[in-house]
Amino acid sequence: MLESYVPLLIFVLIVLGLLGALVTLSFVLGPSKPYKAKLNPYESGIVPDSPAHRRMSVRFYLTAMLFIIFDVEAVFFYPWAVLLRQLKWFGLIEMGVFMGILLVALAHIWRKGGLEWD
Amino acid sequence: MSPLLTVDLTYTWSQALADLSQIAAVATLTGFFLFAIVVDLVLPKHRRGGAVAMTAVTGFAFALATAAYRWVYGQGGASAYHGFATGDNFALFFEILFATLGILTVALSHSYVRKRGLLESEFHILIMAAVIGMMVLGSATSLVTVFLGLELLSIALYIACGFVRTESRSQEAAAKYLLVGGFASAFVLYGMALIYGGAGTTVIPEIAKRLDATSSGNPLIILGIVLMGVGFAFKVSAAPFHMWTPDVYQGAPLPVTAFMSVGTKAAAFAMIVRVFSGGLPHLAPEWQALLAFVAATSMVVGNLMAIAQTSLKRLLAYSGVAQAGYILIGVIAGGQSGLSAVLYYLFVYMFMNFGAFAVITLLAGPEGDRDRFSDLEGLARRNPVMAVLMSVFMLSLAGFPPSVGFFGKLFLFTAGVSAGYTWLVVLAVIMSVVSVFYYVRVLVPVWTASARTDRVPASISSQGVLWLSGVASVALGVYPTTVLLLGQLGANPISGP
Repeated sequence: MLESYVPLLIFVLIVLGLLGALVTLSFVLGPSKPYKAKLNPYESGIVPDSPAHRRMSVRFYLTAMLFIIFDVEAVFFYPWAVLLRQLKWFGLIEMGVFMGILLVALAHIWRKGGLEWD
Repeated sequence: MSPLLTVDLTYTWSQALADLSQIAAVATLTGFFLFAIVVDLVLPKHRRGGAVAMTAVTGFAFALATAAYRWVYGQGGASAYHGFATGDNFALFFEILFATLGILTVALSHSYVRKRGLLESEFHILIMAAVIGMMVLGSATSLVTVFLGLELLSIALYIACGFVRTESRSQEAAAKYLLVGGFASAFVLYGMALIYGGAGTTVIPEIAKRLDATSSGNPLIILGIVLMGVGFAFKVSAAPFHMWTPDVYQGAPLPVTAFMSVGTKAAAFAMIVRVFSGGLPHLAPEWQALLAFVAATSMVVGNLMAIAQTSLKRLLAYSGVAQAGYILIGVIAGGQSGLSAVLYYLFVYMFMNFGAFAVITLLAGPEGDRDRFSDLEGLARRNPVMAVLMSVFMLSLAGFPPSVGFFGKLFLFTAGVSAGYTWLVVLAVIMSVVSVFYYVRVLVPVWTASARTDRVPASISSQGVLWLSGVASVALGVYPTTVLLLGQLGANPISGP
């Protein structure tokens, strides 16, 4: 049983060897002329103007949490949509209940001001 | 067509109805929970609190009635949702317990929340969510459902602990509970993953069939048991995993403390019995050893630490640690006598512990909770009824006959001795004697003469809570047969008749 993993082991070794060789070669052969702009963190080619460790508004947290909750729940629609015909009316009603609960949650967030930025 | 699309879907309407009826109480309460959210959204601000409180009480009452109906007419027992949940007597017993606890909590917190100016409707909705989680734990027969219930209950309680947003103590309690609780959940989950790896299924009765005595030498299974045991011990606040308990109990608003001191403990014991006694009966020596250690530590640490406390909340927190130790004896002993003793004790613990917290809750003022010993001074004259009832609760927790505490301990200890854990029971009896000291110490300021004459007002619903808890603490002790019988019937699905 373990023999079947031998190709995997060889693959891992080749990957590690190739990576090591490339990094070493570019380190040995490549020219090294460091200056300040070159040592800066790379952010899409834009020159950074402030440190990355700064305070973020806590509102992002709420928005992100709400997004994740509804996003994950939306994922449930995909398998349901694929199997809709086999699930027949039962599946449709079941999804109606699910969406009803989601709607109550959305109404709650909306009404309580969870979607307002200020 | 891919294999996914050709899967045979034979989930019929009759099957769906049968499954739903197994979790009828949970479903009922969930419906009322959603209704309460809508009520909170549509009513004008000044009417929300009372309306949601009424919705919550009605929901709990309907869930209670549903569970009681199913109990009486014996429709429970079948496994539902492909073995993920069930409505057997064990589940029904806990559904009845948690619905009663929900009613008590809403009745007690209504005036408290008003007095302190907290958001009332959200408070009751959170309590409902936590009760739904507890009920799910009671009826869960799969590790996945167990975890679902555990998280539902915990997340609602994390928020409830930090409900007093202006008070840093309350915030501290919420943060501590969240961090430690998340840690405990991770332990439980790692343990479940290992058990799943060993058994190849998450359905608890299936695990019991597949993991027989030959698995007891498997180090990964043992590790799974230990990890789950550690997580469970966190949740029942048993030593040495009890460190969060005093801080969280002290910081959380008092009705929440009262609710979680009873509710989380009962729910976590339901979980322990389901998973350990129900799912791993062939590996009993392993988890019994672990739980015996935890029980012994809890009884010693809880009772000794309670002596040194100056805050009533912290004292009752350590008392809760010690009580968890006593109840664990019943789980370790197992069998019908052990498990029915556990169920009996959890049921009556609800009344005596909740009652004790209810008395302290009524002492609270608008500025915060008053939980020093001096706050109880002269209670015998300030509110004689409360003084008498507080004495009943304390003596019952200490285990004086003929209170429920005495019979609860009697049943637990008898089961422990007949299962061969005499050393544990001897330790428990010694520690119960120690506990008398601090329980009676609470009563000293209540009954000694004092210059304080300010009345302690109690709303009608709070008085109802006090009376019900007080009468139950005595009546169920004088006449313990009914609840013990219910406990036996409730334990049957796990232990066998």
